[in-house]
Amino acid sequence: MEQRRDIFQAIADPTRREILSTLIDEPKNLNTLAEQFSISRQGVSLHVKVLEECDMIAVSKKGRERYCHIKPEKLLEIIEWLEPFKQLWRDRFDQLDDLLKKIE
Amino acid sequence: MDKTTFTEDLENNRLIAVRTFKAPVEKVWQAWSNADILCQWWAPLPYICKIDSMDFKEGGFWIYNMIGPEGDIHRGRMDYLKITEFEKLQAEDYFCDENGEKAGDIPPMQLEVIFEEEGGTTRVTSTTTFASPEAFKQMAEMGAAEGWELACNQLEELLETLR
Repeated sequence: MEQRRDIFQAIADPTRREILSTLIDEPKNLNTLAEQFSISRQGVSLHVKVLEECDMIAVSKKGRERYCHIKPEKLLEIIEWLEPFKQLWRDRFDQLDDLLKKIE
Repeated sequence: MDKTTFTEDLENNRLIAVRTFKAPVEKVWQAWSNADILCQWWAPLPYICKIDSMDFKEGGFWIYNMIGPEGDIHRGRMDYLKITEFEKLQAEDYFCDENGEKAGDIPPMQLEVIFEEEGGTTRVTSTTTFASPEAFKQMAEMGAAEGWELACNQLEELLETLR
């Protein structure tokens, strides 16, 4: 049964987070990427596959090599998911500040 | 320095907002306990807030309407769980229907507000605790994980160049 993949599944695993960190620096081909990790090449491939399914990275073929690129718009979601709540409190406190000055 | 600062406590599903106001605590407290003042700042612009009813006491609740520029109305309710005058209040904030019953997809949020006076200014610490859906737990793991923060910093730089 195929499970729906999402961004949080992608980052729940430490190896996958490390792969993402590595790819933020620059795109890498799968072999280079695999060499950086102590786990097997197959293991890295599997994580890459999950990240691809989660739409966090894209893998493109160049001849016999497979290059992994990060998809920054997805990562942005993680950083900005709390932003609406922050904005809410920023707005409220700004308004309260103005109000307190007025009723002085 | 009158800016709002934030702490993202992902492990405990909390967002903490801190702001210092140039006013004594009695006055800031009024802004939370007096319905007429509260409704003047609670709704973020361009929304306006209209009070339906308010009973500011433990076990009491406040029902309010947030009215948008298009005339859209979002009804919210805050249940007051604990009130310590001039010091602290704890409440549950959620969307509700005409009868004050919980409504919508967004689960209730717990709110704790702490008031601390210091030389004529009042520091307000507002802590919003979210319900913990699966996604949030995973994000918490992420937040605590080594290396991730670094990745985020790098990512932010990257995103700056993309904007």
